[in-house]
Amino acid sequence: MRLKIFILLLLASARPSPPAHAQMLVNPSAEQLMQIVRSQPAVDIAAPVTATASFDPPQVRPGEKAVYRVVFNATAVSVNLPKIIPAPPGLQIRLNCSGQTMQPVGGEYQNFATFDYDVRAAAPGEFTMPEFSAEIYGKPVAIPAAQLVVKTDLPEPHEPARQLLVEPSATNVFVGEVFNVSVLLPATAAGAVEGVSDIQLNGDGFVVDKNSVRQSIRAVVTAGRNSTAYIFEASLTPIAAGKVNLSAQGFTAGMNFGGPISITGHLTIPGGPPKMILLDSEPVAINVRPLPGERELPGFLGAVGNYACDPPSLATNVLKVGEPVQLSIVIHGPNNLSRVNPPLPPRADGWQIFPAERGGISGGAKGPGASFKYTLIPLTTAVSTTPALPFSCFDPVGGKYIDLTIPSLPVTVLADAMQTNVDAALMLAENTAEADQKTGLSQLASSPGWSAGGLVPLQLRGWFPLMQILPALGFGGLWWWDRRRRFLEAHPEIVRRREARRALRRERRWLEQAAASGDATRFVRHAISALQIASAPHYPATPRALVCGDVLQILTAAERAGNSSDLVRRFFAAADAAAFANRAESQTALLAEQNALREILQKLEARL
Amino acid sequence: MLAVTQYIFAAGETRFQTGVAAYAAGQFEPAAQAFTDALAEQTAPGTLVNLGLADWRCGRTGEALLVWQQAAWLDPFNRAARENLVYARDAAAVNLPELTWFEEASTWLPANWWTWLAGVSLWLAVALVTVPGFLRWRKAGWHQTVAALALGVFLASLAPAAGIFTRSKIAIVTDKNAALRLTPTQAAEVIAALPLGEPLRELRSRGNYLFVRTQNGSGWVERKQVGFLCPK
Repeated sequence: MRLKIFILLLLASARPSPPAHAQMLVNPSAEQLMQIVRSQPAVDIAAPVTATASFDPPQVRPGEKAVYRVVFNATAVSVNLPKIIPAPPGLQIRLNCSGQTMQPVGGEYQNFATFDYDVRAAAPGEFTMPEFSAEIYGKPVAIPAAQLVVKTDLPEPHEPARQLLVEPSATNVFVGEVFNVSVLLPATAAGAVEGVSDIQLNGDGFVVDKNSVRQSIRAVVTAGRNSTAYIFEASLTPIAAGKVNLSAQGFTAGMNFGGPISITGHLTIPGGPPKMILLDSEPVAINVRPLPGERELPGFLGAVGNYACDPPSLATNVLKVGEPVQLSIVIHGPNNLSRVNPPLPPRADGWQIFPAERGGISGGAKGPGASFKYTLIPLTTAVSTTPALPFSCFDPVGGKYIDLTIPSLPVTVLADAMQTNVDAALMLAENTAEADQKTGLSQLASSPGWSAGGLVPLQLRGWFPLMQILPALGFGGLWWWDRRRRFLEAHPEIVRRREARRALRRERRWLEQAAASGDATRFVRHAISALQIASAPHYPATPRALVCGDVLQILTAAERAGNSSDLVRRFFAAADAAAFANRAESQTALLAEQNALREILQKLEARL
Repeated sequence: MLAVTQYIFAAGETRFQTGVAAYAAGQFEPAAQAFTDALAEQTAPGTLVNLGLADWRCGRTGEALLVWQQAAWLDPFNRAARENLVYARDAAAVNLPELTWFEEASTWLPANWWTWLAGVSLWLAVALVTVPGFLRWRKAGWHQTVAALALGVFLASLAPAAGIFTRSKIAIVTDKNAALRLTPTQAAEVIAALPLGEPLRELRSRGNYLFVRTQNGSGWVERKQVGFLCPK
């Protein structure tokens, strides 16, 4: 079906609007909400995922842009395409944009994700994108092959790839300066115009004012020729300085405009269900300049544009202490008035001022204006004027700040002798006390004050938890030491044997030294001492109290039967002889028994 | 090491005095720079208070609120920091950070005192319970009393110490173009513009974006547009 509209200004809506009371339920119950949910068509997510791939247009000239379009019946986030797709040699390809839309299929809705690749070939030829696979919901899905023909001579009329056009009203703006952007979809070569849905403006550092969106179809001049185009207009506010590339994307929507539209001129709108083809635009560079911070005036709250203020009006100029009065101001501006912040209420002695209430936007001789109402309460009879409200804006044309301070108005404040307004009296008292405390900023600190290691709390510093290990280790060590001490107290023989081993090693060292120096007397004395020390823990007894018999008792039966017993006796006898009979010559012979003595001592030490 | 420490402190003190002189001469930018340099040498509440004053005079409301908040974090008894915060919040019409009861309690003492208190009281209680036994001292009543008191102090300081940890996630908006976004991308829809000095609470992060909670809702904000009470 094709619909002809002849020189008509039409404000139409794509879908019939039900009565206002049916559009929104006032405080709907949970059951009503569930009914609304149930009445919506189901979203089919169980259908097998398939993919289609095509070139748009299938035939292009060398160097001309074509779009390689891959469409899945799945959500865009679930599609995991290979980073490098297998393009044939000679074909330059790069991912340009992607989008998702929902379309009715067999009484249910299905998600369709579209990926558009920008394709160009420098030389003529036939290029075939081979079949490859993408991962969707974790499973591989085959993308069919597609062919692009690149020819120098193409039959006329040749229609290039359809594209959106982005036309900003300004390309050199200040941060906060509102500018308009038009997104155009020109009519096809056959003169058919269709709408665009899900339009998305891509670029960093912009805020799109969704209340400012308008759409129309009208005659335009594109690329030097007259045509008709669908036009989407929106207001943008840059919020960050720098160079920004602004582009647009959207789905062709046939005659579904999704809202009011102004149509002018002679045009053809294709009927039937829309094809929902993802289109994009070439990016447009926008230079966003920062506001000059050094010359900022008081009361600047981000208003950028050609603003002006009406003289303020006061409800009455004769007041009583504690009696509220309303001060109205109107700020006129080119656009975006809903975003204008009203002047902040200043701190003024003798006044209590409440923040402004937004009163809406109204028209007037000076153009649209946003009105604000302040409630002021005089707290003393000493005030004679309302406080001035500092306000300023930045004029992007002149490149300077403009002072728009709301001037003071004369008032006469009368005392309330009856003190009927107790609240006002209380407020006055509170405000005076508060004002005493908050007279302004403090003086400079005269010294840095105590030094802190840093702002990071101790528990977040690595060394602090580690430092807690130290006392834990200390207490653990104390506990272990106490436990060991108690154990040794219960088993004194361990201490005796350990001390005997230590003393024995000392005596043996002296023994070796005496033998090496040939001092027989010392040798025998240390030998006796070593034998006594090695035997004492077995009784237990003091080593010096042991005699030869005691040492022999420690030897095993085999040792007693062998030479060991004899050697021990000889040592003790030689020592006794030297001590009691003054016969030292018998000791000299014992120097030769050093090795035998060492063996005996080793055996005794092993039993400790 | 002592000499090096003294040298650093002396350098910090010199820069501090340079900043004070510049501020007195009405040169607020050089003053702010000098106080920033002094802070790099030595973190001190007085330096933070002065840096806040210089920032305020330079029109950097967010930075001023941040450093005064940091001064109060280091030294809650610093009257100048407290008064400046009250004045600046009032003038800039920003909210107070919403604090839980244990965070409120953590503001009673300097940030690190609570942690020291918890650590020292815990080990004191452990020592008084165990050491007399280890060293075979005669058990005295005061051992038990002081141990119970130390344990009580330890338990009481746990909640403020936790409050210090959670308060370390509080940040202040320092960029006048800061915006709360729906998703962590530049192209994301802006939920709200954030006023300078607005307190935020970091809930999680992703790349250069922080998911924050403000008193007007939650959303994503760029990391460089906010300053943390305790920088990471």
